[in-house]
Amino acid sequence: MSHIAITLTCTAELKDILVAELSEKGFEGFEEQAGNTLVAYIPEQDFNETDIRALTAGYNVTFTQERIGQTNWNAVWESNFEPVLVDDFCGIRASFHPAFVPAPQHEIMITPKMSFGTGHHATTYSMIKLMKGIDFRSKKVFDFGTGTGILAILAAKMGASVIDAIDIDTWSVENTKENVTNNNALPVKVWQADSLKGIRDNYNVVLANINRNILLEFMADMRRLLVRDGILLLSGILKEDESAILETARKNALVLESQIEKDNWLAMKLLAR
Amino acid sequence: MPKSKFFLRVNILLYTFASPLKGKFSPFSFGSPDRWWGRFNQIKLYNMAKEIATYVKLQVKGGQANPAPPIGPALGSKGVNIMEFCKQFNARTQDKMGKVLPVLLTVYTDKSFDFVIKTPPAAVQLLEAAKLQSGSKEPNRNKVGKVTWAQVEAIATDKMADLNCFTKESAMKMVAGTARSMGITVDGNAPWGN
Repeated sequence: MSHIAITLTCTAELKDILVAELSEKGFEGFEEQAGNTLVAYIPEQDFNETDIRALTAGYNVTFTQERIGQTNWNAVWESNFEPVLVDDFCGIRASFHPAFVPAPQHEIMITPKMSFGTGHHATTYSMIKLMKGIDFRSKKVFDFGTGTGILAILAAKMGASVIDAIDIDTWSVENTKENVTNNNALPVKVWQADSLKGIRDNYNVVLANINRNILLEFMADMRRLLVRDGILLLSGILKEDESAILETARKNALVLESQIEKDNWLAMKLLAR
Repeated sequence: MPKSKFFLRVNILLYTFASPLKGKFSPFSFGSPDRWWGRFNQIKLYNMAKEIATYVKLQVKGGQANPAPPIGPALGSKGVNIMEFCKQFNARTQDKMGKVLPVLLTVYTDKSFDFVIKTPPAAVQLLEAAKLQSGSKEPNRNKVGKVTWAQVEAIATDKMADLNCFTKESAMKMVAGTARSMGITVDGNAPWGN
């Protein structure tokens, strides 16, 4: 999706007013630069130039505009990120890194582009640690919010026979497909979806590294996907949200078996009862 | 300066946890002058490791950060891991979903970052309050809206720390001034009289 960036210069007080007014007109985000310069961004299809010219003229401000095409903004970080090693169990690296020596049990190559999941963040790291203790051989796995596909690929490498993965973002779906191919993780199927409502299959393991709100909203659906004694791994939970997650899990007959805390983030292993 | 105090605290914490001397004796016990000199040098090293490269000031919607502009171009060019910022920002703002929130990022030379999230700008809160008053969800096309002094007080209280005001009254005057500039009138008499 392309964006329109408009650049305007005004006083500090007016800047906040324009942020408020432009937010109402569909602008999604703003960057404040030196010299009281404000750059405001809106998806191209929502931009009504006449409307915005009239609005800014009301405050005696003019702007310049520029079209910003879709691009991989994470390219600089990706070009020199450090490989990640989770114990001797799983190593994650880019294609330009040499292989790990000594080799861990599993090695995954990820080109993240603009998707989440490289193992650098505590939430992914802890998921991988929890996966280490699970026997995935011949299991059916569902990965909710797959991002780069890292966890689905690891499940494939650990012997899972079916891995279905969804993500809300189309760029993540494309990225997962690339990473699945590069890692020869054949059982992984990925598609775009923003809900679990249409999923009718049952799975032995469900993986979800998202955030509190989504985990709470879809807890009942995740439980529905699981077979009895199935395993639910949750991540993306801040320490302060622990009780809210556990309360909803309990109401859905999910019992906490273990959890890992890293950098104020929790990852939980729950069992379906 | 508060900033230097902050760094001192961070460094002492790092030192406490990361010192190779840890376990041999408490970091606050007395040791030989050589040991103290070693600790001093270590603190200096941590200071150097966390050198600030730049600051980035953004205003983005709570719980909805994604790698599109402005976050993508603003952070990507600095070599920051955009997805990591989005994950953290969204988790910390999930109770303020969709609200415009100012966020100040400190980017270090090692590409790591910290950020502080502020409450929504007074102007954003005023527009919301005016909509509540009129009962309309549509943005007001003629920019004529009304808010109450109670709403102004609530916004002023919320923004006190950012407005550099010593009293609530002066903060309320500033918020009322912003309202006037936006074409929003404040209903009734000011609580402190004319």
